[in-house]
Amino acid sequence: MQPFLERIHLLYTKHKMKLTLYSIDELMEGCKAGNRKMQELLYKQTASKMLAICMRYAKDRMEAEDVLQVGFIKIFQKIGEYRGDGSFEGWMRRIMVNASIESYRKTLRTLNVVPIDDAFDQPSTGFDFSRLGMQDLMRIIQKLADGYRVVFNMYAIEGYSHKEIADTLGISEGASKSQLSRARAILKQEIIKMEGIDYGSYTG
Amino acid sequence: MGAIQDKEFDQLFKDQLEHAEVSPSAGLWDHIAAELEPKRKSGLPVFWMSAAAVVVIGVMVALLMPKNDPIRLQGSADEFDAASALDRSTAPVDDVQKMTAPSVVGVSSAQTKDIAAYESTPLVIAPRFVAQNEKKDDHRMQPNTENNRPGNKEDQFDPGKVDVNKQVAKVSESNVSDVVMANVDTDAQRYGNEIRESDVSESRGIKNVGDLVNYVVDKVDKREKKFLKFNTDDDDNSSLVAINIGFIKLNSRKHK
Repeated sequence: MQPFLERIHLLYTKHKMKLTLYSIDELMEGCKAGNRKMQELLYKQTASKMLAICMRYAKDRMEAEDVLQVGFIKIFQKIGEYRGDGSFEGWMRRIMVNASIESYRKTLRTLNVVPIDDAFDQPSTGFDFSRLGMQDLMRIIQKLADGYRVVFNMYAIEGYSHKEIADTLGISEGASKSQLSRARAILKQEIIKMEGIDYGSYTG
Repeated sequence: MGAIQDKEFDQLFKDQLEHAEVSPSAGLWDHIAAELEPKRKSGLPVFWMSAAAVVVIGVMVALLMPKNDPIRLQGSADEFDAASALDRSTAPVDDVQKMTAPSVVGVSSAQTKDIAAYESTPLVIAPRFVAQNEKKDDHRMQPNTENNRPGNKEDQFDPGKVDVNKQVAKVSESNVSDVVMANVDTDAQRYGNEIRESDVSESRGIKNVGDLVNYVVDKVDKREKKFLKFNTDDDDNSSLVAINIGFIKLNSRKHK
């Protein structure tokens, strides 16, 4: 453990001479005190993880960065409320997820999203996930209609129950279930499409 | 390859995406920092705005209140005298005509005032005089006003008042109000000096804006520590020396 930490410290001092390495809890305490420098360091250390969460819920990078900004401001404003139940990063993640859901609900109010129903049939073929990178999956999730994307994220990745999703989004549990299965169907179709392209490029 | 269960399918997404990292655009922190910045500064202007609003409201209330004008003090003294004079002169008309000794007039009026005022001249006691009678009762509780009167009366006033009383007796009911106004004037002259003194002291008090604010605040705020207090001098300079708005209290050392 000790040599590992030393190596990290060496890495930091080598690349950025002035930067001291803070643990996330030290950063959290600094942010609680309202220290702007510590807030910036916390942002730098966690922003890429948080943006990945926002990207899953948003349809593009621009929307995701807007939500990221809102989420970080919420984190700095509410940091006094963090009582140390669970990890601080987990607390930050929940705030980002909530900010993403809130953003979705706002767009829901402004424009009525009509779900696309063309991918109803379940594809029976399997696929090779090993060739699909994180960015591919992110891209096909972002292609989903807003409602499907939010339900799929909440259920499959955040681990919400259908009841929790229904309560949060103000829909019925049945609607949550059907949106989830439609989301899966669309995702599978998209993956097959991508693999087809990949096969095509492989076979020439 | 092969059919894939929903759970497995979800898990594959979860594994890939749950701990994914995507670097944000370079300038994003500056936007966040800019949005965090103004919230710190906004505390002070809000306080000053609210303090200014309190002052403005206080001044508005004071200006709209009918009682705040020094002239009113004179007016109320007049009304009081008019009311008491009215009682003495119009009500016990018969008594005055019979008894010529002025000291007796005072005594008799003091005794019969209340009852006689209502009984003998019911038309004179129009609604507006009811309030004056009430006010007069408050004053009568203080010994000062009653004791002063007989001395004045003996010197100069009584003959005229008896004349007036005779007029009142003669005049028809429709003209009674005019006679009352005449009484107001004579009594005002009698107490003229006294009232003018208080008036002068009042106007001497207010020379500049600071004095005005102090006066208004004094009317509105009866606490020992006013919510605003200005220190003023004769050169029309005024400076804020004390604030007391609940949670904020400011007191300069010089200010007692």
